[in-house]
This record gives sequence, C-alpha cells and structure tokens, in this order.
Amino acid sequence: MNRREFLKTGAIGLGGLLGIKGEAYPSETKEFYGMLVDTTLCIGCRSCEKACSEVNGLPKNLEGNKELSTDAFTVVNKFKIDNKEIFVKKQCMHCNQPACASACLVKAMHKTQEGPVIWRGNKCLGCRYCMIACPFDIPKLEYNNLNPRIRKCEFCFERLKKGEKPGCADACPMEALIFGTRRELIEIAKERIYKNPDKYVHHIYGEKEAGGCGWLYLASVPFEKLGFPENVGETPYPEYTKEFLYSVALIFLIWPSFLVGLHRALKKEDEGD
Amino acid sequence: MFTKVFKVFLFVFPIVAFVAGIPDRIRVGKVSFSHKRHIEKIRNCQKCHHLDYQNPQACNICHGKIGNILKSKEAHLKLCLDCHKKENIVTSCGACHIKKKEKPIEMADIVIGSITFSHKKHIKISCSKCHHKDIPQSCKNCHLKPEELNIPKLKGAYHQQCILCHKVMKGPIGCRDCHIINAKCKSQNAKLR
Repeated sequence: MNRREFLKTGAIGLGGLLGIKGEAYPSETKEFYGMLVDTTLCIGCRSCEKACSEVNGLPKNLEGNKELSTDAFTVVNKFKIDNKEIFVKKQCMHCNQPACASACLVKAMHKTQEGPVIWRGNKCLGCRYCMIACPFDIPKLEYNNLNPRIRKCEFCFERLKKGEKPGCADACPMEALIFGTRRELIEIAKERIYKNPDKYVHHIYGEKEAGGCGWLYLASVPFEKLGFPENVGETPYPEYTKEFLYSVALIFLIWPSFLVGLHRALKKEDEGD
Repeated sequence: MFTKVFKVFLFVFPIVAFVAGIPDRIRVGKVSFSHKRHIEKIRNCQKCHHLDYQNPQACNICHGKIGNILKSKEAHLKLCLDCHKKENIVTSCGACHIKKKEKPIEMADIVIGSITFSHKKHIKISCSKCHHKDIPQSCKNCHLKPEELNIPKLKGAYHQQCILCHKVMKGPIGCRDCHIINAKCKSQNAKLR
C-alpha cells in the first residue's frame, strides 16, 4: 500500500466514521439521470467546453485546456490512435455511490436523488478528502483563493431542476452526448454495440466502474488507450470501508455494553452471597 | 425506344456482366423506371422478364408484333398498374409519366438555414443513404421526437449524416464550409433569438 492508497482508505474510513447514519444510497425508488458519450461521434469541436463555461460563469479560455481545473469543469482531449483522431470528453463521472461523498466529513459532497453529485459550499470544511478519495481525480480546490471552493462538474443541477438538459448536451452539434435516465442510456448503448459490433468495443465504460457511474462512454478503441483509469474496479468505493465501519460500531458500542452488563450481573451475584 | 434499350442490354450485358451490370435506372420516354428499387421490392426477375430472365429480351419482339399478344403500351399498363394496385403503390399517371417541364427532384438545391445543400453534387451517393425510409419524407417526422432518445434530433441527425460521411469521402468538414453566413440567414437567426 503506497501513501496515496493509504490516505484514500483512511479518508474514506474517517469520513464514514463521523457520518455514520446507515444511509442506504443509491435510493431505489427514483432513477438517476445520466449521460451517454459516444466518442465515435465526437468531432472535437469543443462546443461542450464553451457551453460549460457559459453556464457556470467560468473564464472562456478555450485554448490549451488539457486537464480539469477550477476554471474548466470539462475538457475534450484528442487521442491519435492508428492515424484516427478520437476525442474524449472528461468531467465528473457522477458515480452511483461516490467515493467523494463517502469521504466527506460533513456531507458537503452530496449525491442528489436525481443523480448529480454536488458540492455544498455552506457545509464544506476544506479538508480536501474528496479530492483524495475520487478515483477519477475530478474535484479541484481553488488554492489561490482566500475562501477556497471545491470546483467540479455538477451536472448542471440547477438546470436539471428547471427541467432543462445540461449545457454541454444542449450544445453538442453531433449529439454525441445523450441525456436521459441511466437505465435508458444503458439500453441505448447496448443496442448500439449490438447493431454495430465491429464499430464499438464491447464495453460500456461507467456501467460497472466504481459501482456504476452516471456518465457512460462508448468507444471504438479500448478505454485504457483513451486515458480512462483502468484500476478503478467494479466495487463501489464506500463498500471498501463498510465492514470496517460496522466493526467500529460493534467494538465501541456493543462490546463495552456487553461487558458492563456482564460485570453488573456478576456483581449482583456476589452481593447476594 | 424499347428495342434500343433492350438491344443495348443484349449486347453490352451478357451473362458474365449479369451480376455487375444491372442498370439502376432505366429511362423510357417520360417514365424514369427505377430498376434497383423494383429488384429490391420484387426479387423476382421473371415477373417482368418472363421469357428468359438471364437474357432479357426486348418487349416488342412479341408485344405489338404477334397478333394475339397485348400491344406494348397495354402490356406495360397491365404489368405495372396491376402490381401497383395490388401492392397499394401510387397509381396516378403523373407518378411515373413525369412531364419534361417539371424539374427532376434530384437537381433541386435545398436551403436549410445557413446551408445550401446541393443535390447535384451528392447524386452519386445512393438515395437511401439519406432518405432512409421508403418514401422520401420530412426529416422532422422522426428526428424531432424528444422521447426517442436513440434517434438523434434534427441538429444531431444532420451533423452526424453529413460530417461522418464527409470524413469517409474526404469532403469538407469545417464549420464554415457548409454554414455560409449571409445577410439572409443572419436575419433568420435574429428572428429565432
């Protein structure tokens, strides 16, 4: 276990420890919204970046955005594979069971019922555990701000509440981004793979990664070549600490009370004699 | 006219070229007959080439020459109309007998917003590539249904159709290559906003 992994596990564990309420998410009653990104359709026009900047009031520095930052919630990167240009959009994946929300001590990171993972500034401590916990390395802190905020894609939650599509999906001229409920999108993705088995890699990135993500990707080349992290695994991140956290409750609450009870019982017998 | 057309077939397309050389479209006077579409639909050459379908004969070898066989005109009327009636396909005269004055539809330029689509330049591509339903109909009939997530909406449908094909055929793919901004579409855009 290297330092980063240790911190990650620790962060998730500690976060869960302070926030134990036995909360069961995702809620089964309501469907999560998601987005399907068909990278075979993307032409790299970066309309989504532009729309994102407009919607979120970010500076419009369209040149040279290669990585996510506090000023860029989404970036489109070009990958040249076999003389073919493939463009991949990157942003928060909006996991079904987000590691960031699990790690957050004060529930500032919150998975909403609709699906977006949002950051609530009035609760945040600024501990940056979410940054360490995220397997996709998404949340970014404003280091150069006196009152720093965590910045990341919030799935245009405000627009969603109004019944509008997220800005990027609205702007995409190729409709490479399809917005809908996660269940519908998986159906569409599977149908596309089934109908064009030669065109697509037979895998939907995000269907099972990190326990399922809101954003799903289709591609014509293996995903590890397109900069997607491979070692994410299929276990939801909160699962890693669940057993440990239950044992905490057991040891610190049930075991002492059991011992106290035993002590009392034995004491009474002593007095009786 | 029939003889000419079919004599050409007899000499130019022997059996070897049978598979490769089937004409897509046959023009007979006012009638532009889509051979391809009828092959796709009927899938039985003998329906029309009833003597020997591997060596199609000119119709008027018999029709019009031999007394008790139908005249060429009547034979075509019967053959085409009967089948069209049976299969519920257009039976109006104008559907097949296109008057010369009418501009054939292939040549029309189509203006959509800031784009002028030249049908002429795209004529080498099969019609069904864009008109993917049997009868050419408005794109909006399908590509404007918000509940059908898998069917791209108009914007996506046009861009996907054009750009993906232009990529393969090495056509222009820059925005301004197709979207030519002029005064007219500027005023249209202003109206939309």
